Amino acid sequence: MKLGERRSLRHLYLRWGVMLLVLCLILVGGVARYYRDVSALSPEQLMRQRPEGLVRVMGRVKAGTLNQSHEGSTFELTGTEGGVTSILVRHQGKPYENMRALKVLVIEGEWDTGRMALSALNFRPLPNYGFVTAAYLLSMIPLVLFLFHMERSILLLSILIKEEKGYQPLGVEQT
Amino acid sequence: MPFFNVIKWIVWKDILCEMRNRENIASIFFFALNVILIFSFSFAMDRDVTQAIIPGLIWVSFGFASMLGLGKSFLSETYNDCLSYLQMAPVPKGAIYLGKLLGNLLVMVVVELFLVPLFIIFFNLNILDKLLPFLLILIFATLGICAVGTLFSALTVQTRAREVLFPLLLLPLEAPVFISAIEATAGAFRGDPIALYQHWIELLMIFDLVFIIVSYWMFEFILDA
Amino acid sequence: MHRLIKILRRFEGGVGVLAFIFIALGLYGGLIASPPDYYQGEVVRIMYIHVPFAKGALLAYTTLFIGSVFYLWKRDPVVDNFCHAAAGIGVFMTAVALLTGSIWAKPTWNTWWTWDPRLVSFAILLLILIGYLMLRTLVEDKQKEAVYGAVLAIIGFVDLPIVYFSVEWWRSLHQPMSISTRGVSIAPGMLTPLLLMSIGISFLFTYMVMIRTQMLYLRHLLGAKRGGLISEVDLS
Repeated sequence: MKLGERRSLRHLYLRWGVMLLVLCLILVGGVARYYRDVSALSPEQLMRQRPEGLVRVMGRVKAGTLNQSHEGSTFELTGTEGGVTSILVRHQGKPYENMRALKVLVIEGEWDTGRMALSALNFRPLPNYGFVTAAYLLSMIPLVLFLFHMERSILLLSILIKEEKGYQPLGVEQT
Repeated sequence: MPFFNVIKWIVWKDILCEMRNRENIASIFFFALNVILIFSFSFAMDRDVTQAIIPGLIWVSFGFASMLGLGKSFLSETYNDCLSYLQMAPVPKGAIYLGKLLGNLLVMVVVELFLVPLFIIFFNLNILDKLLPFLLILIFATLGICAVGTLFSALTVQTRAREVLFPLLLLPLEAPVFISAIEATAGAFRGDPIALYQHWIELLMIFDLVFIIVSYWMFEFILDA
Repeated sequence: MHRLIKILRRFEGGVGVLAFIFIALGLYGGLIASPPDYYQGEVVRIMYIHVPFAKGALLAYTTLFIGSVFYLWKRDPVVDNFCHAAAGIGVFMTAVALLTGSIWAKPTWNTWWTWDPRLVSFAILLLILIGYLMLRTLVEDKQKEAVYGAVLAIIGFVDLPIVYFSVEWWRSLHQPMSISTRGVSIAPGMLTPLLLMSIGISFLFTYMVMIRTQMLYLRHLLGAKRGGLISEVDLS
């Protein structure tokens, strides 16, 4: 394959279009997974929306409400920025590690609208998904731009080299 | 033997130039003095604070001084085509490197020996009985700085932005020298038995050995380019 | 057409495709399929980027060293382009590794930076590579530029392990390693995307160096043709 006859810029754009499409699909999948597995309501949103079944709530353990025993624990959960709304959480089983008053955590459980209480099934650490998003964007976007720029430069340079008129002494026909 | 003669002549040439107009030594000395003065404004002259900071302060000022002094060490060779003559001379190029290294080492050690009494006076240091280990650290660390610095001086002296490029290239590579020198000096000034900080001095010696050998070898490529 | 360039052009397509496949699979595994860590939560996903890029950075640095030794031996200008390319890609990968590592450290250790030997060595590696690129830009003569760069690369390569050990000794003196970058145990569900991304980024590094070498080679060719040094260029 001759460099001069390298498939044109159009092929480059097509190839990159396909690659970016695949990456966007993965990105969309990542966002979908975020909404499915990670995003959490605040206690206030929970009280307002009153969903049925499994929910995920992020909040802060209210000081003075934590009661722990080896059978289970109960506490009240407020929003992470304070606020008045608080919900009652009941958990059966081994208490969560490092559980203490004023700790911020994510709870997956069943919301009982009648009794206005959350039966906790799982505890999770903070998602901190902003950091994850920042890291991926700050690494992938410059990478894509850098690589695309280099590949395009190669094509443009080979075109320029082909078209460049070398020195022709006087009297010789200019081609 | 031509090898040692070359080294001797280059060191002699540099000493002679330096003695005729003491511009290099003087400028390094006064620059380091300024650095000490400015640093002395940055912290309160508390006894404990001084004790804690002094090793770092000493080596930062020596480091800045060497950035100035070493960067210019090949500058005199660029005038009057001296560098081309050195390239053409039928001698092992490594001998030229060693000659330059010794010249730089002498200049830097002389400046540092002038500065140490000033440190003792300005900061009221009580180290007269610990001078001997400190001198040992001084010589090995300065040798480490000069070993790579002489090579990089030859690298950067023909570039456009030599004053900026030389410290930029040299300082990251000299990090082990500065860490070892500061830790060993701190140990010496505290009055620790030498066994406690001798591994830093050993690291300095290893650094010196490795980099004198590598630079000796690489210098030929630079001069022949 | 130079022999090395011919080899690069023959294999770049395959390497690029492999890189893309592995990275796509790795990103899918990292963002979608793999579970979050019990302690770190979702933040562990940053590791799928940080670790492979760090490995790529060390790969770049080793490639630069080997290329520089080869250049000083054979004095082949395309090998010099290869070294220049490796250094450029190395700067990119080191910078991304340091950035993502810092972003990972904030939620995990509550600090943006710590004077850990690995981190300091990486910072110094970045400075050495940037110094290499600056030296090559500022030296006027093309041949001198190549030799000086090669010398700097060799000295930098010899120095980095010494830097690592001296910082390690220094840290063990002043602070016990309460925060350690070692010993982060990996659950099996997380090993697969990490491995896929590592292989993918290694292939990507190879591909990027191949591409960049050709780009630099073509730039020099264009300069030579414009400067009237060559009249015909056979790009076949």
